[in-house]
Amino acid sequence: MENEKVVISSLVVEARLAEVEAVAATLAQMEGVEVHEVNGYKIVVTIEASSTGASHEISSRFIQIPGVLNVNLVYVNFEDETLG
Amino acid sequence: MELTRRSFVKSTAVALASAAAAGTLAGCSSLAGTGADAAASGEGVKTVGVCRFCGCGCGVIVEAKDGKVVSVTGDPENGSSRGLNCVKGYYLAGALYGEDRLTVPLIRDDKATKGTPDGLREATWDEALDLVAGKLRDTWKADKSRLAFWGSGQQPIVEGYCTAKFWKAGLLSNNIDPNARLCMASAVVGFMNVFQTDEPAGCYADIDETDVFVTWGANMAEAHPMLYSRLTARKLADSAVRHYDVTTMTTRTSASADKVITFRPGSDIAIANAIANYLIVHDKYDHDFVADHVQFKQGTENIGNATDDGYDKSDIGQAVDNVEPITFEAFAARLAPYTLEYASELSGVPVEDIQELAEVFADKSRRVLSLWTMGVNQHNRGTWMNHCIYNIHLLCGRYALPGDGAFSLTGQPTACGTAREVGTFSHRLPADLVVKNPDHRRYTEAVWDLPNGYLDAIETPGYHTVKMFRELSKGGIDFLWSAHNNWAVSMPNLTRFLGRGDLKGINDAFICVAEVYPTLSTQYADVVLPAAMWVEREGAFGNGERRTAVFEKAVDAPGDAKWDLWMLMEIAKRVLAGEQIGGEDAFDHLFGAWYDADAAAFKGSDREVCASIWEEYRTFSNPDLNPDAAAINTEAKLKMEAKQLAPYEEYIHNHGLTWPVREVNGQWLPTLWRFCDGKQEDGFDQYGIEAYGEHDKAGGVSFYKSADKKPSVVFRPWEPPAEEPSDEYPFWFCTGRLLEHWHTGSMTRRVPELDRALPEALLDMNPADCERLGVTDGDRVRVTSRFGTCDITVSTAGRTRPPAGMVFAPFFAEETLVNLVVQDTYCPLSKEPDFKKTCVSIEKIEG
Repeated sequence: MENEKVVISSLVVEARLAEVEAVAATLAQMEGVEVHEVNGYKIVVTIEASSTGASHEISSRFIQIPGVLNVNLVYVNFEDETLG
Repeated sequence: MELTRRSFVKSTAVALASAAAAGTLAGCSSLAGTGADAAASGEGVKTVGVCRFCGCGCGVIVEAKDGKVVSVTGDPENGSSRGLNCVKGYYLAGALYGEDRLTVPLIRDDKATKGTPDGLREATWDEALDLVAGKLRDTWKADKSRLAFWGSGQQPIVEGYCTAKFWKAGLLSNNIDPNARLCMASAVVGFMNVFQTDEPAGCYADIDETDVFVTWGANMAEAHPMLYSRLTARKLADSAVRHYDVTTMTTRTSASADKVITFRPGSDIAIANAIANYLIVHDKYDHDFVADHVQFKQGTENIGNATDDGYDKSDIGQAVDNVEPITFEAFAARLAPYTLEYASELSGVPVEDIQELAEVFADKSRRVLSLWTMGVNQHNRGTWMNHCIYNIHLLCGRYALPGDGAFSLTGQPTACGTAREVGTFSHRLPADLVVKNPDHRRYTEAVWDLPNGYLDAIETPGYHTVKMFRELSKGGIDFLWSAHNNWAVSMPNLTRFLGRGDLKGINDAFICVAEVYPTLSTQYADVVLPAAMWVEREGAFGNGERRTAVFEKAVDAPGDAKWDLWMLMEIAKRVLAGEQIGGEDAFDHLFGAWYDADAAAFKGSDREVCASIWEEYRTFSNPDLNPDAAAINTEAKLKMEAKQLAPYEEYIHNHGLTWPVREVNGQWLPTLWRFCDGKQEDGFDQYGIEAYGEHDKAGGVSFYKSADKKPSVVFRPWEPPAEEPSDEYPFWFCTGRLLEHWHTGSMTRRVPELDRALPEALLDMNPADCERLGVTDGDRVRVTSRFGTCDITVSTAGRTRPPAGMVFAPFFAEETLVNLVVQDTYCPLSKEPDFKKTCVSIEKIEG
């Protein structure tokens, strides 16, 4: 893993309250995705992926999970990509 | 990334998202000074920015290291977004660093290569600028009706201001219009007709306070993700909150709706009128509000459709703006035919659903917020539909109150800040002033230090956008300069405008395109000027809630790419060489305060230049800064300070401010709720109402910018769409934007992997229609209208779910180019095209 190129981003995923735990469980199973916290209807996740594009691709799949209402990006670090 | 660094970055990421998720969205402000600042941990240089994409205007903190942007964080101190971004935030870096970024000027020597990716050669800036300026000057001297500038709701404020000043005062031409004509013009004309001021009274915080959302022709989930996030947050926080989605098709926005009201395209005015009629017939309107705040009117009707070139100059075209006062009783009588049953018959919406929606507006125990976008604006009666929404809200006393209002959402980052507030339209001057009003011209002459009467030469509006491109296609334009847009993908009826069949107009014209990447528009350019982008120079945007926000320069532009403002100055300098204004060198007179023509350089840093231009621009809304302007303001009762802007530095310190911004005890305080009485410190319009308005009127509001302080409720009848499905063209075709790709995709489609999320434009179809036509997902079909044809892939699993008889496609993909098919019929009042209701045939492409 040392010096592997990685883009790290964090997001807040919003889900219907009744489905928030199930959504969190689904998210946690996705490659590169880690669930850090569930706060009411909000789920704090990070994505670690090889590029911005890959990160975006993963995040784009979140909305397809039943119960997900919104996906908010909070932080994205792409220094490996832009500093190359 | 090394493990220690990776660990630090990740813990930062978690901390920031955790803070953003904590409590309410407003709680994100607790991040200030800890989260965002900690993100960099002293490693990169952080600057304050605003997202480059949609009209939400989300704040971002940009971190740069070694000359590159390395991270982006939602800015918790930005009052519009409070720390959140949508997934387009991923593109903010990708948009800067695409491999095919334009870094040197390009010149086309052989016009026969237009419309192809070939034929452009590298050139020096001097050669390119001399060529562009020479062509512009030649055209200007020969016949200035044959030159044009097409700008944008993405052109930062001071650049738009200087462009308007060059075009209107330097060239004395009104042939300047922005792409905002394609998205906001109907909202603008609606605002002007109803309130005599171009601005929403409410703000984004209304979303957090309302009890019922009514979305009209709006797919916020895709087009305004951050605001949709606030909508869903409000719903999740209070289970009693309701959402009615009034739409022609099911979209992602419908997911949060308690009721989806699907209407037949073009029948929304009938529904709105039926609601207004219901409120009156059942005596459920707000008598006090109506008595204190409303005047009634009716206007020209049976206005036909602006499809033919001669429409604007036809008798009916000349009469569309006419209105006359009527009594409340007469207004009620005009509405009387709009029974629930009649509206149901026209719209296909069940009577009980329209009644339920009418009751929502009637119930004064709950606050109601209408939100709308392109379904309302891109409409052959777009201005009228804007009227009809205000009619309902004004009748039931729901306007300009927190959580209780009607809010027109903006599509582009600075459609409000630049196109509208600066006034880069063919009929406008800065700050809501219009060319045809002599007092407005005098005021502008005072601010720009022009001789008295100098601007009388531009009292007649120039070409609006569709007219501009129709003239281009007919050979009526010799010089076109476009910037911050991609007209060869975004304009409707490209079959005509790209010269299919007859290339003469587009080939003969000299076209200059300022761009950051090769686009379809650069394929038609004679000269391509490589532009610095977003945080490669300083700029400011004005978003949909009257918030002006600065993005600081974070990194240098690549190669020889230059700030658009520098290009403008260099071209203006050449074109105006030898010209005089008031006995002084014309260029120096207009731009000398911030540009040294001899040195070909700005007088100061980006910050100093922006501040210098801003201070001049700000004079429009602070007449006391200029004694001549102040005198005209008083004499002509222009109320220019009603839209007061603050000194430049205030916008940086405050991470954006919503105007009017008032100076109170040395502090500049924003206004969130316009025309609403209350303390300025709490976001209300205290000083505006004290200066011009009245206290103790119904609802605690005072519409002091409106004639007689009374907005106009104008009766607007339902009239049919420009075309309706027929045997030959049996489907409605609607186009729009989807989340991933911003507009024409010139920035968001740069990173190859991103295309996997939304690789191509698909034609969303109803399964029943597919079955009838014998097509399935993945099949290629040919879509044909009276205007043109495109080929596209069918999907029944797309992001929108059209009803039978309707299809939808996004417009981002230049390889699909759906705008070859779309009509260029526009709203006769706003001149905004109807992108939502072209009638088409669909046939399977075999093999």
